Amino acid sequence: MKRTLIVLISILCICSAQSQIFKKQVKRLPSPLDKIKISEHFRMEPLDSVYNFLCEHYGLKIIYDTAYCSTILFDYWYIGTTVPIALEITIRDNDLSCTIDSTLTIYVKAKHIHNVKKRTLAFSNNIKKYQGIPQTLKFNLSGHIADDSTNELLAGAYVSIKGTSLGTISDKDGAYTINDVPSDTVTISVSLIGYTPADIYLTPKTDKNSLTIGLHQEAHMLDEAVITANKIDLMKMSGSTISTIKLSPEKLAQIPNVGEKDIMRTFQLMPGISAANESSSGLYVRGGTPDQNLVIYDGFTVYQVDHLYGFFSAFNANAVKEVELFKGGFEAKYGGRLSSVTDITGKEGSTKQFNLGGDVSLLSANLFTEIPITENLSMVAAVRRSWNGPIYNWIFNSFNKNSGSSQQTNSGSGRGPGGADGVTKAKSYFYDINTRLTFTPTKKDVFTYSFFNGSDDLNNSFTVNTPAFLANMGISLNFGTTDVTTYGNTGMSMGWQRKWTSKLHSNTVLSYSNFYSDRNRITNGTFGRPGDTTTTITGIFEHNNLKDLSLRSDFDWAITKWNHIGFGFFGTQYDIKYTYSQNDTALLVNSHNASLLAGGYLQDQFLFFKNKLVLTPGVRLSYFGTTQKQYTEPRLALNYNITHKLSFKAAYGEYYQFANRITREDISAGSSEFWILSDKTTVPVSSAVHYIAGLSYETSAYLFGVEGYYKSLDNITQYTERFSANTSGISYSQNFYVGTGYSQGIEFTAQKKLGKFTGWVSYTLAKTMDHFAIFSAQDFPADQDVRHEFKIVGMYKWNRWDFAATWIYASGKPYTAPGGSYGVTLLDGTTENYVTVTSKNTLRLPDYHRMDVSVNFHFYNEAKKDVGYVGISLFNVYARENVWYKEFTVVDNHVVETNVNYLSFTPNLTLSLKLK
Amino acid sequence: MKKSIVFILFPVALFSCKKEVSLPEYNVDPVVTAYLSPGIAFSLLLAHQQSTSSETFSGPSLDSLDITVTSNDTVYHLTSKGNGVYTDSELILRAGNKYDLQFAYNNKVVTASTVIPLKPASVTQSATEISIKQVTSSTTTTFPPPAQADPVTLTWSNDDASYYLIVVQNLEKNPIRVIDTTSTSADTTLIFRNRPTISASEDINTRSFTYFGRHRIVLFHINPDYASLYDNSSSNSQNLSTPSTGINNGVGIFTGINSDTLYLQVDKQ
Repeated sequence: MKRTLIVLISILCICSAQSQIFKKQVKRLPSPLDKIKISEHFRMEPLDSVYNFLCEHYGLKIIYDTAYCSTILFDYWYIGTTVPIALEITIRDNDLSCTIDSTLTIYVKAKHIHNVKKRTLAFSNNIKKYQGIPQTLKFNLSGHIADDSTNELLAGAYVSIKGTSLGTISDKDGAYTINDVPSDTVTISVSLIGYTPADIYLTPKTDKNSLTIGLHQEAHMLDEAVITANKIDLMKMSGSTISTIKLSPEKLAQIPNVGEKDIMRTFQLMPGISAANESSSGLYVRGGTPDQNLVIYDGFTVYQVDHLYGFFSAFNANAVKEVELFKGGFEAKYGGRLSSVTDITGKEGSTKQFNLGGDVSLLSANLFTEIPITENLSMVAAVRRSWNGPIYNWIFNSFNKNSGSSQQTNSGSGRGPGGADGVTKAKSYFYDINTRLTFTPTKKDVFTYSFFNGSDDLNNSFTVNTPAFLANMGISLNFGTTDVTTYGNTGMSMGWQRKWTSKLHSNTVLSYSNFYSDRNRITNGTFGRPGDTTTTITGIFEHNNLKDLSLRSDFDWAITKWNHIGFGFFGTQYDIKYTYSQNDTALLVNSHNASLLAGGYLQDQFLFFKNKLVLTPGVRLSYFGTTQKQYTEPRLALNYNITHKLSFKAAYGEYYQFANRITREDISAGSSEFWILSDKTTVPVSSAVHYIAGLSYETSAYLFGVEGYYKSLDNITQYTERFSANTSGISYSQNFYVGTGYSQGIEFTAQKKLGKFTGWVSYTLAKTMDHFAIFSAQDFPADQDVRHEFKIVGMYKWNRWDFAATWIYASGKPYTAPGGSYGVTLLDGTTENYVTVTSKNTLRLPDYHRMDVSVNFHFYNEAKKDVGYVGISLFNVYARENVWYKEFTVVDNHVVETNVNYLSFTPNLTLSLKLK
Repeated sequence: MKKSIVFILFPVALFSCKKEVSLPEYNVDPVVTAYLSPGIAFSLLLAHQQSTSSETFSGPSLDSLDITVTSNDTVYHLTSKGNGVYTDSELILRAGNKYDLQFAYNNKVVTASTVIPLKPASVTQSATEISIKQVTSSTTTTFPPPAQADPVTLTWSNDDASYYLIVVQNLEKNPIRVIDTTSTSADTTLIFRNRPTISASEDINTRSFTYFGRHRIVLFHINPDYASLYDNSSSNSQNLSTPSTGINNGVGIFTGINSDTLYLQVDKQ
């Protein structure tokens, strides 16, 4: 009772229709909502996204007019702001009002819509029974029944006169008429499933010809699926910025997976991002390669996103709050890559409640915790480690079967060559750790510290010890293959967000990122007899170490309501080493580059015609120490809301890339990749120009979008030893080839956002061409070129059950095959036979397609809060044999083609539990 | 039991399927074979490529084309001798000279260029005679095998790190095998070679000798395009490419070579 009283008083205090309460600072009793403090930076976000976010991350229940709110761009930086104040900020100047009911459900309404429709919403809890004398008897009463938060007209509501048998049901337009109402002081009762029943007390002044009655949604009785879909989108493809996708990792479990819910894999279900890449967690965005996609985690750059040969990404979904992917045309704030940006934000953790949770699947175990250390200090920690379960071994062995014949016999059988006795095999694993501390010492400052460490230890080694019969002879014989690939990232950042004034905010991040990759593939043998021991070592050693120490500051200054300036500066000190040696002695490549990349940016956002038109010109300037040149990157973005639902977006931008990841081909031992810095000649600074335009039509329930893009690339580098005449090993500078390229395409998307059934359908028509004179005089399709991609994602929620299915179709990637043969008589008199190949990438692999399905059953605690699920996921459910690549062998002068396929049908089981 | 579970969980394995396929029409670029050695007349061999579904690697010869070679601003028109052979008896090759090949084929202009390297200089050999123990059926097998004899080391001048190749040939009419057991295969070759090197010295391992007697050691000074013929070709579709060649719109080898010859006697120990 006491709680109800407090709540009611709070409602009166907080939510008078005009919300004047906040401006007048009237004393009121504390509301439970006062205890929730918000620290977020919303930068030109559609207001519906803001409300979604607040619901998702602060546990609020907000019901609002999605269509209207999506047309309002909201820009504000909350630092420790209470919910009532935060709400007031969202509604002021936006022609909105809000109410909060006894269940602390917040209703945000568009005020002007009432006026336009000339509805007088009658609130049952605001009007008391009229005690005067009736003035009109026996009259007809008519009007509409509407949802009081969205103004949606409601059909099927039962409208009756209390104490009589008179009544009617509202029609499909929400209209009703009751004839012969006894008097103008009777009580009208309205009821509808899903809404709180309402009593309306008539007065002589009541409009009898147009009485519109508003009903509150009953939050606790609503179908959960409706609320869920409304509050949290797994994927949000709309927004004020073109080519931007937001992903909420909390909902990732809905999507089928192959062992682990995965952020990067889920992005591959989106239009414009190639899906037919099971062996890479890196994103191929609009024809770009993974190294052209900048990945930022809490402010530091991540240079390696793969676990286990790329089947899983390095990011633990339990530690991530939100991921934003810019597919192109990104703003001046971002730079250094040609194609796209993936910006990942870690969870802050609750300052109020301790939480602990974890997942266990056939691939890995995952544990996370949220610890409220003080009122102002919170911590999140998550750790994940693979275990040698069936899926890990399945993929590990499959990959090693594919990658090299020498490894084939070793990995699958668990025995060394020849099945010798005493063979021992090493174990492989991956792990990652995420920690984040968030400290809010004042209302104006937030300090964060984020740490990430992830590593893969792929060990395919084996050793053979002295057989018993030799040991008896006093002879020792040990040999084995060490095949260890260790790679990973360590990154950390310290951030300071400062709200200098209500209009000026800053975000400064000092970060460090280290990527390392060590390949050690040697065969060693030790032969010993009394007094004499011989040791031999043959193989390769490869080490790559990248260090990135960065400082950046971003400022956001809302000069006026229609003009926002963004500016900042950045500096990165790169230090990249790469060595490649053979047999422990011959150092073939020894590259060490260090350089400073520094600069600044400025962008100015203009809002015209009541935010209908948003124009954002910008420029980014960079100075690269190696080339001692300045690079200028102009950017321009435009967003025009033609109507509340229909908007046109366009972007233009120029981009430079200074650090490149190169693939070093190695057929016998498996290819490996390494990062190097651009230089003046061998690996020039590459550049790209983006042109993007698109239309989107969005209602509260649906989104339809189309976007077209053209991207030109210059000074892109490929590395191949195929054309090298150097037989003694790698010549560092000889094997890099510089070329150009372009990518163009059009993407169509239709998304259903609301209801029990949600999902999307997308189709992409694209073309990615390269031009490298060494390969061909003409343009040829790039390796990652996929012409047609069709994706469909469907999710259905039924009580505690989630059902989901995805289907992907991608036309085949290009490849090159043998075309002819010839023999050459060598100087020693022998004849060497050669196979020539077709023109570069003129053939196509078979089309790729795959269906995945999943079913999850959720567990609820006593408070009916979701605390986990058990789920089964079926990957490639109809066991499509999708071709990864082809191998060719010559047998009796016949070329035999072998398809090396991607994963076939793979089921997975996941159990996920958390306290809260 | 554990295996059974895995089996049930993964009834469909990731696997490879092999099939012979009809590949696209083979490349039409011609195959050139020409080693330009100083002191002899110019000669080259021209052939078609062969389809990969053919029984043999080498295709039929290619005759009656108008082929020119340019050297020192003089243009020579080669004579087609049949069986793909083209020569010009007046064009005597010289070390250090550059030779440019050109002809039209299949609406493309085929070109190639090479320089004949200089003769290897300051060549030395560590031994002119070595002894190796013969292994026969009656030889007692010891474990481990006895240490091998010291290798024969060749040195030469190589200031510019250019490529050299060592080829060793047994000159005996009736050579005696080093390993002469009943299980020794009959077709052991009389010639062996090392891999091309850019160093200024190279060892010839004594275990490489399969016959006793007099041997000729030819130290070739070669160009990089010839050295690349020894590179392994890729065999998968992710990085398959045409073998290295210095010939535009053609394949094969058009390269200058030079050499020095040494001799070595291999005796029974």
